[in-house]
Amino acid sequence: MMPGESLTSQAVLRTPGIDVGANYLDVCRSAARAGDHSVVTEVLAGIEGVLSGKETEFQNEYPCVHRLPGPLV
Amino acid sequence: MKVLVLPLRSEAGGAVISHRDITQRKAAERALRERDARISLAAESANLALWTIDLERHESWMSDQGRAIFGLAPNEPLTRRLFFERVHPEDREEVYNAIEEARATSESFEIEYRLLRPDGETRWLNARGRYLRNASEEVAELICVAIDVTAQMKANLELRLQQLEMARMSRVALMGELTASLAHELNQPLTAIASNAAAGRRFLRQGFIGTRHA
Repeated sequence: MMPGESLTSQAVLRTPGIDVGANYLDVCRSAARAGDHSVVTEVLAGIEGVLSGKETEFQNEYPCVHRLPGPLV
Repeated sequence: MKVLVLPLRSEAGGAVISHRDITQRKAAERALRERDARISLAAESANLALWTIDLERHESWMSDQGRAIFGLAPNEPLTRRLFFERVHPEDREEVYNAIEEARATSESFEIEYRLLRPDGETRWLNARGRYLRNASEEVAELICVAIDVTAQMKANLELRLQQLEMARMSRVALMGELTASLAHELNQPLTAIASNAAAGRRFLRQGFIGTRHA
């Protein structure tokens, strides 16, 4: 799945250049900057904690809301 | 979704990030919570204690009313050990045997027992329970429902005490009647004897009769 789908707002989904191969951490940071996304901030902190070796594991659960670009009908 | 981040065991470092769709699990948990809420509402309406122990998932649940009756904190996990700790020591073996027998025979059980709460209060419960089995016919869950019959038991005890008191009062009244009857039956002849004796003494004193006739 696309990182932006689960972690970010519609604004990030629309950000050009986010596709397969995009830098995941950059996407997260961008999403965190885009607004008050506590889940994104938590996940970003968790990933960075594992990368730095401070944490041996990180897991979290979050609601995933798919925002479609236009109306269904 | 569930995100899991694990370190990548390599010289370059890095991490593996996975996102797993847990929609179904969340839906099942929500359904379970809703079921518990409905059951809890019904239990509270009927002033019942209701609890379940899921032996497969090692989870337990007790209605708010049940927690109040057992003297458990809202988030205090219900364990088998804690349950038996709450049962009055004198009733513990009987409760244990009833539950274990139900487990072995797959039949429901009904038992009346006392709780001894941490605040020292004793409560009487009338409880029913049964074990549920899974698709493989293995014991999977214990469901129990109980009603607090403390007020009824106290009323019965009070009635019993009053009956005993009435019986005692009745015995005392009977003794009183018997005493009065005895006194009457003895007084009559004694009075006659005393009266005759006084008359005899008077006759003797006045010389109407000699001592030979007295």
